[in-house]
Amino acid sequence: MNSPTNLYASKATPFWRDERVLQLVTQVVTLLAILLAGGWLIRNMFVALELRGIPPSFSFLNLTSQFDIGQPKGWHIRDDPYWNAFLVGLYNTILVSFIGIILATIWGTVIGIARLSSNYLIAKLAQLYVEAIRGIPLLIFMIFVYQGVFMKFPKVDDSIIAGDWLYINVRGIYTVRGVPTPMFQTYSVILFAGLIAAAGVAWMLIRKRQITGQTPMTGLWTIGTFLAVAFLGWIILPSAPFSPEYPLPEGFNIQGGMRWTPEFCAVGFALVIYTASFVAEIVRGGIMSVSKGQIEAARSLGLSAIDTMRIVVMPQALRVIIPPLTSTWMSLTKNSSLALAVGYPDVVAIAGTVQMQSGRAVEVWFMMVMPVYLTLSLLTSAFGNWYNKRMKIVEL
Amino acid sequence: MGTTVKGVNNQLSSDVLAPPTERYTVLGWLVKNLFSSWYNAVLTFIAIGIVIAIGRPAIIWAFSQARWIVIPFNMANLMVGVYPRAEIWRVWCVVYLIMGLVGLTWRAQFTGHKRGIVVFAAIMVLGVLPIELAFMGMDGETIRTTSLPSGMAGVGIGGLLGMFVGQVGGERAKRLSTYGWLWFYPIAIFLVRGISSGHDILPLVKTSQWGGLMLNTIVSSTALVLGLPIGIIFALGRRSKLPVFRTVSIVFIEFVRGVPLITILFTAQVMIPLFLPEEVRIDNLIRAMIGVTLFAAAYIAEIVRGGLQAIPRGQYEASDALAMTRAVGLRYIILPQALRTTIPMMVNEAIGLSKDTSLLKIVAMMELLSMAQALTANPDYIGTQRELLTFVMVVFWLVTYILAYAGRRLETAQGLGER
Repeated sequence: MNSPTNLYASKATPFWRDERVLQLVTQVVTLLAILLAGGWLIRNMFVALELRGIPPSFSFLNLTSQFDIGQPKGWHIRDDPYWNAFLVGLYNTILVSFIGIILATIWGTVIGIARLSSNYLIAKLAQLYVEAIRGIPLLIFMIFVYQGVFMKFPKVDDSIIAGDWLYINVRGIYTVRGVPTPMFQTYSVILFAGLIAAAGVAWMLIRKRQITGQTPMTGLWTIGTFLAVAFLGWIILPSAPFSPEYPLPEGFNIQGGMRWTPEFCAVGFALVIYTASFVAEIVRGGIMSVSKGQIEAARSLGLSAIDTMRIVVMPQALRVIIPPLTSTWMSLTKNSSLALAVGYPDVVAIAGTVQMQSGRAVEVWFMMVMPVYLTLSLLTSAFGNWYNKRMKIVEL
Repeated sequence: MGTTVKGVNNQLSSDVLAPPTERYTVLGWLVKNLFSSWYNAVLTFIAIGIVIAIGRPAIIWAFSQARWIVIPFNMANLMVGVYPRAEIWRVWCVVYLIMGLVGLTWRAQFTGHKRGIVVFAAIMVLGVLPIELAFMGMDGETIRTTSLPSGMAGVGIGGLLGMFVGQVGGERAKRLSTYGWLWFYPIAIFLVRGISSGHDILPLVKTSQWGGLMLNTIVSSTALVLGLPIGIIFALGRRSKLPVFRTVSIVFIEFVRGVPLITILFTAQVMIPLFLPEEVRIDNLIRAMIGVTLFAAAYIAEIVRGGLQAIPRGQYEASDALAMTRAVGLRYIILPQALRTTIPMMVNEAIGLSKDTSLLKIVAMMELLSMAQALTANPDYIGTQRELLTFVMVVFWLVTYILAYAGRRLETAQGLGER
């Protein structure tokens, strides 16, 4: 006669059907397979690199690059090492992305609000813009802007001239530039003082709001303070901190002034116009996600149309807008790599040249370019998570 | 008293007035929509100014300065690149096949549209006319008037045949259309590629000879077809409780999504030969396809993960309660629901992919954009960048538009957003 315990013991799950064991085994097997495959691939790579006489190392970064980078002018010449070229490329990527993100956000917001306008023509134009641009590959648009617009500008001799401060021709857009004079150091101290004063004003006004509940125009006053100090400082100083440098035609070229190359302009313009069409849809969706009752409630409390937008609609819309907006910024940064196609020396373009010259594919792509973009996207998603956490509706 | 009330009632119920329709005179409409306030009036004038400032030079250029003739002359180059001209009929066959399948699917799957025929005809005009115009000069370098009607007839016949089969086939046609799309991809590749170099009917056409819009289509559809299963695997991996699968999936997905496609393409071009033994040589196009496919897989994985998250836990519990194994439950309960909800995102991904294939130009593939760029180097066509690029933009725009339209139809056919 069997006791119940014996019965269970005889029917215990055998280990080859125990889910925990199975899970462990599949994981170990998968891990082994991945390691083996990866090891095989990497071994092949080492063999191939040895065969070509370029075992992986970063020492090539100190070799002279043998190429010039035209932009920014003089930052990298042919005698400089490769690592300098990388830094210049990185600078160019960040520059065009930064300017692009700011302008695309502003322009996209304008278009997004225009799509909601009660004005029929404006709304339809904005819709046409968004639908036309979103269906076109950015690369083609960028090349079109470069070859079809910026390369069709007049020659240097026939530049489009506005006063003596703006020249537009096929070699770029030249504007006036402020060159720092010896007085600039004193002025920068004044600017710093202005910054502190503005921070103080902002702190005071925020305190005031917290104590009295009144809403002074904090942003306006803060910026106003800074500008006032900057303006007063400029007047008080015996000579101006900047001297203007005007672009001047000289021979076949234009000397001096601030030069925006056609490559930079084309990349920036295309990125802004393209990305703005995505930003516009995000902004529109965000504003439409605020329920109509909120607006009606705000209006019946006596808030003006602007105040309704500023303190009722926008804070709620931003909660919807910001997360996709950050990913749009990220994709703009990644898209700036297409600049390669029009000859703008961004980090990918320079990496391509370096890899072509040195043959160091592994180091250049895996160890340098991809980590740069990965870092940027990790930073972006960290910001998105942080913002989400801060803005999440607190529910009990 | 009572009678009056009754009379009033009667009158009300007998001729209930329809709610007033909004009717404006032209002037009234203008005032309401364009000049309702002073700033709206200013905005209207600004908008008119913008339209004139951009539209006028554009129209002047398009109608009097542009040399559009470069496009029909080079249509074959733009559509199929340097694909041997004697073998172009095979590409035509693929186009007919597509039309037949579209017609079949339309009749068999998207029933319940009363105006189905009209809509299909509209699609034919909308979707096929550009393709038709595009294929005009396919027989050679000049416009052959004969090729247009014959090609048009083929496409029309293909579409109508498909519709006919869908009409009479009933339930079987439904299955046929599903399997048709499944088999379409390998058949199309087989037709385009051929069998061997000496074959009589289907001689091999090397991938280096593929080009033009055909190449874009092949690469993007490959990435979608192969990226979907890979993406599903990574999505399941990312949601797995087992740390190894989860970590591997997260690393892959975040890595690929974090870098630009162009770096992946470069890496695929230079790294894949390094990773493989010396004696294994992989075709240029295959390398690019691997890159684009992995790229697509990472994005599809995130889409599928979103779909999986939308499945309520009760569905998993139900499949467990029915004593299904994990795999069977996934196959018959979870995935069908999860994938259905992801259709809009998948369509977006398909649109994005078809746009991204223009990047193949940068790794020296002869796709549509690079063909257009290469043509401007021809002494006969110098200075026609604007015309060619405009054409390329229009083609891509139409492709995305048709995809978006088909996606919307698919959503309604699947009853998305109705349950």
